[in-house]
Parts: sequence; C-alpha cells; structure tokens
Amino acid sequence: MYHPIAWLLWLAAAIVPALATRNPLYLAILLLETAILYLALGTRSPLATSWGLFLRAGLLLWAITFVFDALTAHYGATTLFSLPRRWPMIGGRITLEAAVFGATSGLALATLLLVFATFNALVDHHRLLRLVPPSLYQVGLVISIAMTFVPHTAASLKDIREAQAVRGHRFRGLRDLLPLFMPLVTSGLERAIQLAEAMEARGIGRTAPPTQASSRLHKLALSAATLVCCIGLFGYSYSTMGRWPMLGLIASGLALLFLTLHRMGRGASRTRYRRELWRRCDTIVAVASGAALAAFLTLLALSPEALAYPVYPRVTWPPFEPLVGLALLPLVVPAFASGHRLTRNLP
Amino acid sequence: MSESTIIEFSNVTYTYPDMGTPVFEELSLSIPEGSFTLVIGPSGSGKSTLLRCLNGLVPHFTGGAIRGRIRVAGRDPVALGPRGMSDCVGFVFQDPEAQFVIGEVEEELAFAMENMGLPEIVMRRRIEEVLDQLNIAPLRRRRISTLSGGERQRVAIGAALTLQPQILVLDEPTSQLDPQAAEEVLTYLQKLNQDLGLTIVLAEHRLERVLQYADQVLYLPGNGQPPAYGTPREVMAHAELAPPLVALGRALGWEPLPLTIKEGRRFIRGVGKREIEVAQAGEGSHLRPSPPVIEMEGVWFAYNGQEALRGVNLTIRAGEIVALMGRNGSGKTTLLKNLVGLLRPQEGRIKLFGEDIRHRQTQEIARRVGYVPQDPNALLFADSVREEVIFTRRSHGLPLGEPLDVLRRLNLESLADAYPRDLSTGERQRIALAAIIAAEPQVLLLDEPTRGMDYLQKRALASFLREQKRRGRTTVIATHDVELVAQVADRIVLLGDGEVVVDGPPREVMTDSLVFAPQVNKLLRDPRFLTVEDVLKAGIRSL
Repeated sequence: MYHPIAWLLWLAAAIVPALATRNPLYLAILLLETAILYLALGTRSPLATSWGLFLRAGLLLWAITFVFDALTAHYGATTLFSLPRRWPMIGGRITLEAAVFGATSGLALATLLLVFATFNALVDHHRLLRLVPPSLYQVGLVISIAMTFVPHTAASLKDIREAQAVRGHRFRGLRDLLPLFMPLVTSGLERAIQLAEAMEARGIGRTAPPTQASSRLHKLALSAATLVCCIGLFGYSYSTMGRWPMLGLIASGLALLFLTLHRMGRGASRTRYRRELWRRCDTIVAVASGAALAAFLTLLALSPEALAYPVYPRVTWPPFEPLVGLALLPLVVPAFASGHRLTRNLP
Repeated sequence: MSESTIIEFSNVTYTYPDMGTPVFEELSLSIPEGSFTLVIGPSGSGKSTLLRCLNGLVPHFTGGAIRGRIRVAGRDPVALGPRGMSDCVGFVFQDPEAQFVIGEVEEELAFAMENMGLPEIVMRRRIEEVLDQLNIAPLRRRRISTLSGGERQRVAIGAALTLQPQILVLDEPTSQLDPQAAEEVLTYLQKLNQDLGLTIVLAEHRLERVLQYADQVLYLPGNGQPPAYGTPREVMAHAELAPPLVALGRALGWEPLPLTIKEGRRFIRGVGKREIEVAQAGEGSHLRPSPPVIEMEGVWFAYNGQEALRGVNLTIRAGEIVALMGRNGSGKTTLLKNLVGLLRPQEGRIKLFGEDIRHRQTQEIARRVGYVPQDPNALLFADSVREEVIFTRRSHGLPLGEPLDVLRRLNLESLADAYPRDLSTGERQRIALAAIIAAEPQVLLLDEPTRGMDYLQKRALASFLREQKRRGRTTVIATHDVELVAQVADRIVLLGDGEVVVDGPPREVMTDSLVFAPQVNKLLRDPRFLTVEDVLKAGIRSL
C-alpha cells in the first residue's frame, strides 16, 4: 500500500471539498470516488470489514439529518404539506427547501464519514504511527499498544463468555455480569503487567535518565500548557472579550505543550528504525492529492460561491461547474497508480 | 568470581511480599559461561522467580525482600533493574503473545535497539543477521498476529538477540507449542548455544523434550530443600521429576543413566533379539461394546470460509478415554466446541446420548457434557476455589452439596480457600477442571489439560481420569502430551487438516509413529510397552 504521507495528503485533499460544499453533484462524485478506491484496494486490507460498518453508519446519519431538518426548519417557498401548529418543533409548514437542505447536509456528513472510512481501511495504521515525531514517541507507543490491546480484549471476552456458558451460566441481570467482567479485567491487568515486563526487559526508556529537577520542570510546564489551553477554549466559547485574544491564548498553550514535549523527547537519545520506502506510485498519489488540495484552497479563497448551493428561499437544480468536477478527479488516482505491485505479504 | 562463571548467586534469599516463607533460602550457585542450563522443579518451586532474578524483574516488578549477592555478567541486576540489564540478558516469556509491543516482525526486532539508541546502520545489519540466524527472514513483514506459535517464539528470541546479549533466559518457551514447533524452537536454541557460545538458561516442565539439549541442570525441589546443580546425568539420578526414559533407567539400575533414546538403546542392544517373556496384559476389556455417547456424522465446520472440520465421523462409547491428537490448527478445539454447542456444525449431525443437539442450548448440553477450555483464566473469577465450585452448581440449578468432595477428588482440598488467580498455571488448570466436574457431567472434554503441569500433577490427573473411567464416564482429551495419552487413553483419534486420519488403540497408533511414540516405546520398539508401568508390570527387572 502507499506511503502513509501520501495517504495523509489524500485525506486532506478529500476532506476539504467534503467540508466546503453542500452541492449534491460534487458530493456524489466524491462518494463515488471513495467507493472506487475501496473496491480497488480496500477489500484486501485487514480492516476492510469496518468500511461496511461506516457505510451503514453514514446511511443512518444521512437519514437522521434529513428527517430532522425537513421537519423542523419550516422555511422556504415551496410548501409540501402542513402539520398542526400546536405540535412542538415539527408543527407548521413542511417545505421542499428544508427537505433538500436536510438531504444535502446529511449527504455532506455521510461523505465526510466515508472519506475517513476509506482512509481508515486503506492506510496501514502501524506505518502511520511511525510518523509520530520522536518527541511524541510515548504517545505513539501508547496508541500502538492500545491498537493491539483492543482486538485481544475482544477475543478474550469471547473466550470468557464461552467458558461461563459451559458452566451453565446464563445472563439474566446485571449481577450476572460479574463472572464475565472479573476474568476480563484480571486477564487484562495480567497482560498489561506482562507487557510492561517485556518492555522493560527490552530496555524501554533506558537512554533517558531524567534528572529529578528537569522532570519536575517538565511536569510543571505540561500542566501550565494544558491549563492555558483550557482557559483559552473556555474563553473562546463564553467570553465577551472577542475571539482573537482567546485564540492567541490557545495557540500559546499549544506552543508551550509542543515545546515541552520536544524537550522531553530530546532527553531520550532514542533512535528510529525506518524501512519506509518512497516509491514512484507514492509520488503519483501525493502529486495528484496535492493538486486537488491546491485547487480547492484556491477556489475557496477566490470564489467560494462556486462551491455553494443555496436552497433558500426557493430550491433550484444544483449548479455544476466543470472546473470543480475536474478538481475532484485526482482524488481517485490512488485506485490506479500502483498497478499490481501493491500486494503485501498477507497470510 | 572465576573467569568462566557468568552467573553467580551467593547466599540469595528472596521472599515475595505478603508471603511468610522465602521462595529460596541461602541459594548459592554459579553457572559457567557458554553453558545450556535447564532449570527444573515442581510447579511453585521458584523456577520463574530464579529466572526473573537474572535480569532484575525480581525484585523490581514484584517487590519483596531480597538478600545476598547476585552477579550476572559482572553486573548487579538487583541494583540495575531490567532496563539496565537489557543489553546483557535477553528474556523470552512463556506466553508468545503477551511480549510483543509493536506488532510487526521487523519492527519488533528493532524495538530494543531503538531503546538503546543504536544508529540505524547497526540496526539494519543486526536485523538481517538475526533474521538469518533464526530462519525468519520470510516473515519479516508479517504481523505477529498472523504467525504460528513456533514462529512467534522464534521472533521473540530474535527480538531478545538483537542487542547481542551474553545470556538468553527463557521461561517455559515451549509450553504452549505443539511438539513439532517446540522441537523447532529448541533446535535453534541449541544452534545459538553451539555456534555463538551464547549462555542459555531455560525453565521447562517437559523434560523428555529438552533434557537432550542441556549440558547443565539446576533442580529446584521446592519446600525448602536444597537445590542441585550439575550435569544432567548427576542431577537426574536423584531428581524426583523424571521423564519416562530416566525413570525406567533408574528402576532397572542402568549405569550410566541414559538421557537420550540413543543412549538407552545401548542397554537394549545387549539383549539382542531375545524374546522378552511377558505375560500378556489383559487387553480388550470391552467384550460387550457399551452404548455410544457421542456420535458425529459427517460434521463440517468453517470459520469465515476457512474449513476447520471436514466431514468428521466419530463414535465414542460410554467409559472410553479418547485422545484427540494432531498438530496446532488441525481442528481439535473446534471439534470439542462443536460437541458442547459453542459452535454449530454447518453440515452433518451430532448426537449426544442418542439425541440430536441441534436445537439444544449450550447451557443445557453442559449439564451432561463438561468442557474445560484451554485457558483456565477464562473461567476463574471468584474469590476462592470453593466458590468456583459452588458457582457451577448454582448455575446449573443443582443442590450445592459439599464443594470439598469435588476438590478432594483432584487433591485440591488444601487450596479450597486460596485465591485462584494467585496459583500456578498447573494448579489453575486443575481448579478449572474442578469447577467443571462440580456439575458431575457424564462426559468430560478436556482441551490441553496438562499445560504447565509437572510430572506429579500429571500423574494425579491420570489417576483422576482412570477413576472417571471406572465410574463409567467418558473423557475426550485434546492434547499434544504423548506421555499422558500413553498412560490413560483407550483410543487415539488423529486429526489432520480437519479430517480423521487415524482412529485406533494407542498401541497401534503410537508404535509406528515418528512423532507420537512415547519415550519407552521409542526405546523398546515393541507395541506392548508404552509406559514405564507397562515394562515394570510385565515383571522385567533387567533387560
């Protein structure tokens, strides 16, 4: 499969139109492209089954958004039918405009979800994690352990359920959870301790002997950074001082956070083993995605109305700009860039 | 410390927290550089504890009080801890699954070197070397989760070797592997020991597997008795735990004590082709065949399209002890799970006591068919062993009765109030068994019951199974343990790739098998003799 950086570029290029437009024609093209990508590449990946789940979740999301908007908006020129006024929320005129608005909003949300689903099914998560910068190494390690922990826990829950079933255990109420829950928790803890032992035995954290003073300083800085971020976020939401000072506060908090993490990472003279190769097909995908991204950003900056699809006050057929359609096309490139050389050593 | 000694214990006493008696007391020991030391002893005698002292996991992870002096490669593990010892002691754990951090073979191999801060050029070279040494190069880009048990353990060994340690410590590395995979791992260990002069310290229960590879044996008898250290021949002459070959050699007074089949055959050769006079044992006690208890007719089962059982036909009669054998992945566990209704056959029929179980719930079937899964940890949750037994009886809606009666049948009454999770693997196995037989099932299905059991516990299990048989109860054991099968089984069903390959009495199946012949049979090559008892019962005092 492609290099994770190429995939990240693709993700960025696909998110922008999914967020920026409600025009169903563009969204339909994007949806079609994700489906092609998945069918061309995804069915071989170990996470392939999750795509179907995302698809169902997307449909559900679309349906909810559609029904909610259609019944509660009440604006627009074309009345379809009316509900009694005294009904809370939904009472009043039900308009075609509101229904179309709901349908297109839902479609935008579902498209965004499927863009993520496709990325999730196609990118190699472990390779993605290797991109985490050294200063955030521990965060990456925790995520990577969690990723192996989750399927393991699911498997052990299945074993436990079976084992208690053969003891005649039936689930009737909350009290009956104990025989399932206890072994799961104790096994999980035992496994965590074993993993910790294995990691220590292989010298984790060996090259970072932090002095007492500096580690205290780091903790202090981390707490301060988090606090500043929180104050900024809170202020951004509720304060009347205007948004810019608060945004500045959040930014400085984040800067402090990264600076501290970077300094902490520098203390550890850990090295990285990278076998990532950048192939020609990665270049193709990256260039195509980069081009699409650039096109959309330019479009948003110069004429944002090209992506817009206003349905109020009266609904019209969605416009189609050939240029926008052209800008969407490079997103399907990953499906064809590699030929047959993608096969990884799957069992 | 003399020049060739790499591990030295002087007067070491260690006590776990909240335990009255020390695991070992005033232990003194020196292990020479370049040796292959096998650590043996009954379960709970402190084998793991000793191994964990070598890289500081004890006391750094466990706490507890340690006295005395330990030197490993000139360093003090108690002061440095596992981190500080990681570049001179490689450690491989029992569970091949729980020791991997990242999940891809090549990156696992790099993990320890990254922690060490080695430059990437060095890492690349060492990874290539390790891949070749252990013959795992074809696996380099695979996920650990897609590897077999034997492959996983070889990767774990490789991951420990990349730092080029002087000592490799392995805590029961083959206990979860089938005989072939275990052999594969042990052969590579022997090669590392001989080609690189790597010092190896390995703990193991199944002596018949490993004794031939070791040049030193450390015997920890437990219960405060002094340990013995020396060549295998010296130690095995007295150790209470003995593989069948050694037990036979000791009973017949063979000198020097044979440790391998090759050595043992020297004593047989003296007899030449002379017939051994044996009173034929009373075979074939089933004159009238008892009624069938389990009937499988053309059973097919597949996991997501991957076929695990392919048209299995099998009839098991009341009172039989049937051993289900075959390599990992041959369908043994799948077959047992189908019998209790945890899995449902996609084709074919299963009848228990003459009744089709298609529409029966697992809980209902489990009243009469007890299934003990491979991992006892999945079962145990209560605060005491006694409560585990009570829970099963209550779940089945049976009168509670006296839990001690059940425990007594397995010699577990002394553990009645212990917390199950604190006990050793072998003991947990037997407690899981107790929790299942608490419902007094007519049929017992055991999945790998001897994992982590020492010879004494195995003997206790064997006599329990014979007792079950006397009560007319039926047992099916899925196992790799050839010696247990030789002791108790009436019949062997060998599965291969989901099909029944061989079905017959042990004497026939085991005698002409390369893999499944027990030691005594390999030695005597006579279908009448599978176990030491067979030989001794026949009244042979010398051959």
